[in-house]
Amino acid sequence: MNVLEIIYEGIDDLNQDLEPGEQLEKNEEATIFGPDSKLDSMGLVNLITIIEEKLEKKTGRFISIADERAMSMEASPFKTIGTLKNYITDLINE
Amino acid sequence: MSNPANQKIFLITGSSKGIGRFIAEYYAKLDYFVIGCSRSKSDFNHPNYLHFEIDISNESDVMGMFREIKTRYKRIDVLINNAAINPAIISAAILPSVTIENVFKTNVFATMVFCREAVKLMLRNKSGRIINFGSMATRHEVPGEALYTATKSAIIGYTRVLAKEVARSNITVNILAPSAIKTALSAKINQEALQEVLSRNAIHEYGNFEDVSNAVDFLIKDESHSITGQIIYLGGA
Repeated sequence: MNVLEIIYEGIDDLNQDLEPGEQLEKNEEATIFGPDSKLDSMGLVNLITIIEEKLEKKTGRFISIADERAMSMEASPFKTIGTLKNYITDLINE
Repeated sequence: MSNPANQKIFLITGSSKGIGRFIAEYYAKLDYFVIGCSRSKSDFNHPNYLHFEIDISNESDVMGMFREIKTRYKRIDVLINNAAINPAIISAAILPSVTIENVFKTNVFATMVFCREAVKLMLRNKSGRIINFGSMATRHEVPGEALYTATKSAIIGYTRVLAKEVARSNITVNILAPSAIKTALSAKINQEALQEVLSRNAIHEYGNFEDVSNAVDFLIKDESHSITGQIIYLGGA
């Protein structure tokens, strides 16, 4: 399964509701959430929800991305698209 | 004929009895589609009512219910977090830890989980109304009610922060704190003590179910879009 592709599909869905200046870029270095982010906290919630739904469709099981470990990690998995991809890949492989 | 696709969808916790039951019936009969839940079965049968028999303090039960709601209806328009437990009136100095944990699980943690999952659905529609139930206990500091009061105070802080987080998405979050109403829950409370607490309200008499539905009607109106992060104390606590 191509996790990056699922994240990009989620970003496409999310961007449909965002103004051109607020839209997320699709590259692994692009910031998702943090001081330089275009997303507010509800935008992040929306993106996570969309990606969780897409993952559930592909894998047939619900994978919570915003789990306890994500909240306790010093380096947030939601910082960039690359960190999110790595985190989701770890969750799938567990 | 029930058709949730064209009806406003309510989710009400603790809907098998008391205030929850009343508002579930009230809105179902007004032709809204009402999803209710409680630990027990409900004998309320109506084409506009769907009941889930779950333990709201069990997160996997709750998540299962939300997944079903999402699959079937894709949205919730109004969430009413009504369910709560009120332990025996007892001094804070001898409260068992397990009681503290259980009451927090139902009154606080479950409310937070329901808000979290409802917000996710509401964000997709960029609209929603959340009403968390508070209590006059948070105004009157009643001896013996420390635990219940603490849980309801937690709900106030949580609600006010959540209201700020979701305001841009046209979701309002408010607290409705009913006065004492004659229900199975209030019947378990020492009546003398309850009467004493009621005497501290502006209105000393018991409230009624219609007071609650009237306040909910007000909070869910489209015109109430700017009323958020507020606490309405019925009875003037």
